[in-house]
Amino acid sequence: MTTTTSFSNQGQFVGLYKSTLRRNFGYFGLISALLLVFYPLQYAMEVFGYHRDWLGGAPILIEDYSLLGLGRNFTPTSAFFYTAILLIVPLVLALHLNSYMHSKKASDVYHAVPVSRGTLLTVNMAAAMTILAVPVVVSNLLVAVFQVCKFGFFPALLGYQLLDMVGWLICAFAIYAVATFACVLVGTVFDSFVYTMIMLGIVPLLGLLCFMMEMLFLCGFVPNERAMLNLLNLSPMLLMPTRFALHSIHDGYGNLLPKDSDPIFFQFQMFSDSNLAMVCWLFLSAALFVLTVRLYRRRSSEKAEITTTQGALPTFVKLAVTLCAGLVIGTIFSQATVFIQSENASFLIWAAIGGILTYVILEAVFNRGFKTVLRSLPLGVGMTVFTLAFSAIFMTGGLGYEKRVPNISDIESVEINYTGTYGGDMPQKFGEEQILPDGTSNWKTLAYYRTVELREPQNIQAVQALHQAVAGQKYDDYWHSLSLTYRLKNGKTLSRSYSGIPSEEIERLLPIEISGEFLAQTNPAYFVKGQQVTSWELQDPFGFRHEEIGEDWTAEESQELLDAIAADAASMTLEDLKNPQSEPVAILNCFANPPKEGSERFCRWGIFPVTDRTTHTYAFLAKKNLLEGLEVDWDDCYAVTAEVFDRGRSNHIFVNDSIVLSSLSGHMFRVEDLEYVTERINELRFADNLGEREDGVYGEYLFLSEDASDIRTLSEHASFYCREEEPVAIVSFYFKGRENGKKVLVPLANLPASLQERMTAYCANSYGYSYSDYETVTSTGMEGAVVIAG
Amino acid sequence: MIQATGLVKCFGDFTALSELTTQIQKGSIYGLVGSNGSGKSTFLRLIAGVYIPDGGTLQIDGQAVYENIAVKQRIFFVADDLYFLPQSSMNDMAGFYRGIYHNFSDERYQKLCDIFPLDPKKKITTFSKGMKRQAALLLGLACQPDLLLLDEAFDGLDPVMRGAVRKLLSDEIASREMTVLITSHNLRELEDLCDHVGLLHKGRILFEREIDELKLGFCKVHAAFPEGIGDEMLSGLDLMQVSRNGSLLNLIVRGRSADASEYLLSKGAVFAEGVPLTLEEVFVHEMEAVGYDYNNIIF
Repeated sequence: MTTTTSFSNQGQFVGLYKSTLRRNFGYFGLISALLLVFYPLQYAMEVFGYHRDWLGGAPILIEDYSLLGLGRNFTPTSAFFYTAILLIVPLVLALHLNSYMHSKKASDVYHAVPVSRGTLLTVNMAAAMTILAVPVVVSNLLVAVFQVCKFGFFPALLGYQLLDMVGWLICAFAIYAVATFACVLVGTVFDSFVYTMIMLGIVPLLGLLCFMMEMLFLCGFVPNERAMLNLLNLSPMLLMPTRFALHSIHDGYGNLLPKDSDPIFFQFQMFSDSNLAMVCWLFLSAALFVLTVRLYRRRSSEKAEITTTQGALPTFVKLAVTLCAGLVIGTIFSQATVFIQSENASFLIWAAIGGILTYVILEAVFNRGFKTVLRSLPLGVGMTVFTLAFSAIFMTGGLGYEKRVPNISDIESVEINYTGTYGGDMPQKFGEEQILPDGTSNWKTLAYYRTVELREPQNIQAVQALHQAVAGQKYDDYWHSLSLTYRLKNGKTLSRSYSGIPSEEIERLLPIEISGEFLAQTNPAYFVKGQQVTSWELQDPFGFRHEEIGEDWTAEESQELLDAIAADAASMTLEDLKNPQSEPVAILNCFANPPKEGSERFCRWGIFPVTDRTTHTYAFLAKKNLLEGLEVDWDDCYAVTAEVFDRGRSNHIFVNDSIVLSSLSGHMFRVEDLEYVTERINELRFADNLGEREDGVYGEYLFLSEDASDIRTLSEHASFYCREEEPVAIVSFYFKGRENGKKVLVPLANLPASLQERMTAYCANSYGYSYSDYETVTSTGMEGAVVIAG
Repeated sequence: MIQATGLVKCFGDFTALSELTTQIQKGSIYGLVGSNGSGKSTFLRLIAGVYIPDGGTLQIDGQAVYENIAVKQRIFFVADDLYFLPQSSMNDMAGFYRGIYHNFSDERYQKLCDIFPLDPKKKITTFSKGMKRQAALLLGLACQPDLLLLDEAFDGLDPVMRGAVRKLLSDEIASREMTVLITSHNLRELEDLCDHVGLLHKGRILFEREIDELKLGFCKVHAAFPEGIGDEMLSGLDLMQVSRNGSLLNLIVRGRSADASEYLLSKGAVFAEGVPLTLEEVFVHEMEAVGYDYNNIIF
């Protein structure tokens, strides 16, 4: 008997590889045809299509086209089909090429021939990746050529296209590796498909479900948007499709945009995470493939054609799917079908039903029938109990998550969304000055400061005290929201967000509003400089008089007024905040432009009430003789409109982001076209005459009166302040020859009963109106109101 | 060549091979018989390296088979349930094996294609069951293995083709000292082909013998005693079975038929003649001799 030991493994590998490619040439042809039709052809039709002739010979820019992807190499159609092909093909190839191990007949041949199992798997993998990669590379080359021909040579764009192509191939390899792993572990093609899909999707799905549970049940939970999106990177099926959303990091030609604005910075973060995920998947897939080869070497051939129901993998898969299904069904049905009062109990009941049903279905699918269901039911019950226990973790405070409040000594600073009573422009971060084609200047907003950062111990203590009071509490009937982020001395952060907090709790934050660091971040007088002011305007509280002042002021004078305003803000007391008594005599507006180099914190517009408590401001304006003639001539007022709100505890008036107290809102002196106002009033009157006011005009429910006594009565009782639960009317006065004035609050209780009745009769329909009063208020611009808690 | 020692293979709770121990010599044609489920195919798959043994050892020329490429280069396995690559012709399959078996001979393949009445360009899926069997044997022989494993190799072959296959195998053994291990549940198929035969029952080799030794060790004798004969008169024979039909005695005796006939004639038989046993009859009696009930072993 002769034996030959000089057989070349390499030659054998190449021979098998060629043989496999030959046998699967049909797949290669089909994939090539699909890719060519749905990728380069679509791209060519988009960029060379005649439908762009509307540009009439003007230079055609890349942004004129509907192109997606970092390399601007996809049309919407090609993006869809390219994604579908690159996700489906590796799965199909893996199931097809490795299907021999799921057939007793085929494995008799493949496992008897003198080829190591590692070689068999590697040859199949190499063939599959060749079948997929060659058409992908050729298609991308064609698109790159089309792009260069049409738009010119932009290396960065081609680089992004190359990067994306590599990413897609890595993900395809990862999908192939996971599918091969499943093929080796199970005995049928169907099981391989099911386990592959579950393995590819279960991690992001579980992660998202955890987020969902945290948001549903954990009081104070703050979802980390970056972490949530990064969950998508945990599956090769989702990694590359999410990159279509990252196309805004460059200008369309590959030039990176500055990372100075929030959305762009976030996209850069996601881009960086996505690239890292690509590299991780490459190594992970390679490691998984090596592990698969090792497992395959010891895989029992007799597994072929036998369903896989026992072992670690099926148990894990059943547990994961039971858990996911239990949570999803619990969430959906507990929200949709309330048959018991307790939401938690309802969730648990539905989660149990969903979990056990899913387990039974899984068991039946994996065993191709119900014969084993009864026998394995105890395991299903165990998994359902696990699902319930998992849910209970969130319902009972997330293992101490809800009650976790850092010690004062551990806190470096705290960031909170409380911006206080100041109701003017929100501070923003501005970029450099840009000169527009019409010669005007523009500053791009890079960020909005919706929060303040507090470092002073007493402020941190106030926030921490509030946090301790609300931690773990679930409120239903209130509107106040609170978001805070502690920066701890150990470098970590702790974020929480609460809603529905009662006013009496929120009042704990009032002391921070008179602190220097708070004012320095919220009040424009603290960070706008005199030389940046472009103009000042002064109004009476009712909008009767409205004029520009200080046209001839120097920067120093503007600075002097800003300093006066800042000094008044600094001298404000807690009592002034809690029980404001002084009605404003005037309203001061300040308009300013940021410096050329931009500004870290700036307001282009500031608005400040002038009362007898703002002594410095008052003195400055008095010195300039600007406070004279502010009295309203009520004889000029020809009409008044009012909206009445029966504000329960849940119907608070909010302006901007302030929580407890609202002061002068951004809409206070919105200039409405007089013609529009007149037309509006005429329409209201016309509707009244026809008796058709029940549906309102412009969707609003207005009381309209041109009666002088009504006007007088309402003006006499107008106020800047109201208690939180006090029923009020929001009143607008219209003066002859003048623009619409500001809206003021009129506590209903102060009005004569007859007027109250007439007003509420007009506005009766608004009580049951479908959208909340809150929306109504903000949509019409609740101006100049100070709402005082409780 | 093949040495199995205490070989165990289980499928879940079912033990297919239980402490199987056997030795198959190089250049022999070993017939493995046994009832359905006795473990024949399992044993072949273990030798082919398809299955991993759960216990014991299996070696070919001192080397384990599983994942041993060098050893498997010398083995070709023709399974009971045949598999060919999807949509493939014999030429395609030849190409497949050519890339794997370095001993694959195109010349031999062409010669075999001339012998077997098969169209090598035609898709194998269009072949009948017997033709597929021929194709598998043809491809196996073209690979020129040192050890050919044939599971139910004659299933579906017509008598003429069986004869042709027997001749081909004999030629291969004669020319290359190829070893053939062939399983069947039908002893008659193996009778005139094998030089060794083993009986597998419930995962164990009940016994194994050389065919010649088996056939020469037993004989069937018909004798006539018009006057009758007592059992004591037959004590000089190593009797395995006696049946009487009037004055006619049918005996199965261990030993040569000539010696038995001479003995019976000396005891007064008017007629005594030795008749050769079929292999099946030999097996039945051997099994009974080692204590197994024939009725429990159904071929």
